Amino acid sequence: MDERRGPWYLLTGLLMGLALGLLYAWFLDPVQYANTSPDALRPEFKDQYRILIAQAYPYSGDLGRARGRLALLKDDRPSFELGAQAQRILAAGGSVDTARALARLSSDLNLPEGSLPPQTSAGTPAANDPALPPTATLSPDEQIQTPTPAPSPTRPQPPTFTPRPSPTRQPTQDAPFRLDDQQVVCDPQRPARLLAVETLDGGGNPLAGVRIQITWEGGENAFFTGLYPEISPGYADFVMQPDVTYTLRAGEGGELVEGLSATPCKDAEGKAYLGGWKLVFVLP
Amino acid sequence: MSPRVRFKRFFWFLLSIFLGAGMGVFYGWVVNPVRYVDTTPDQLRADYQADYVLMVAEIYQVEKDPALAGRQLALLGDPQPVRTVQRAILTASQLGYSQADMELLGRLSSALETWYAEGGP
Repeated sequence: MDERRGPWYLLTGLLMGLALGLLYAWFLDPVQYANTSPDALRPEFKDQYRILIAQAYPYSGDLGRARGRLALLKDDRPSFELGAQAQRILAAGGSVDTARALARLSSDLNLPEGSLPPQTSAGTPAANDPALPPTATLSPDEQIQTPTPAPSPTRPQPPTFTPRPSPTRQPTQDAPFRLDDQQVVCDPQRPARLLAVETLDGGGNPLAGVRIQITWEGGENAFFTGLYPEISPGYADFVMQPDVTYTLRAGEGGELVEGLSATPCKDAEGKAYLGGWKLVFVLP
Repeated sequence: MSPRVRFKRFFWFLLSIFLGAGMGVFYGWVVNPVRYVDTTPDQLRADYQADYVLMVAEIYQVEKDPALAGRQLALLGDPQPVRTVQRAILTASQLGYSQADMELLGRLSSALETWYAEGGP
């Protein structure tokens, strides 16, 4: 009888071994990632990483370096992620400065190459841009200790040139923004009751990171330009509530615009709906 | 079944188990290893950690706040941020960071040392 069992026992052994092997490799001694890259970070640490990048950016004003660092996170749309994170921070009542830093970097990422002022590099340029794999010269205790996926063959970001105090544009929060244009917006394609704000510098260029203060009876809020870089770096908006009148100011020392409320409009079929406003502020 | 045949079958059975185990380990370690997608900054590779510390140093140059720098560096896991910065300096020098970046790291290290010497957190 035993002779007729054939070689099935071999398959049984193979499967048993396979199960044991997987048990060992996946549970008892799984691959330890002691040398991970930023894109593997937990979401809250990715947020923290973005904040660091945004806060470090004003020091060097080096957009290339900031781009390189953001690329490590492998976000599909880095600019959008920065803006979204800034909004989340504001919505949660977090640090306004942090949100502003994120918004500013988000905005600058959308600027065309070469549109930022040239950097004033007070130091020496980086002597070299090492093309060696980053781990090639690490000490043994810093090397990969267990099997890992193939490491990135390049440095996280090339040291471009010496960072020095920021020469980049810094929207002055107490700048006296002046209302340049105010229009009722009756466009059924746009969200209802939308209060759209655009801030421009003296040359007519969109200005990101400007704090917009809005108050109404019994409440106030603040938001920033630059959180919708896909529309314009100087753009911000706010959805008004029906039957509420708002007062708005761009920057800390800007002109006060009073009496803003959702405006009655009619669509092509004569149906009534509430429209909004578009306000344009400029620096004199 | 003769003892010899029984031994032979046992041998092949044992061999197939080892073969299967080898295939399982290969699959689990190489083909489809456990993927860590929710890691923490202290698990970052040394060069990424060095760049992280450089960002902290850049922020320190603006904020001049060693407590803030200490909190940011604490995410890298070492309870002594000065050591974290010193490790980053070593890595940065091996990776050929520019002199200016090395100076930034050095200034952060000095600032933290002073801060700790004066009482720290």
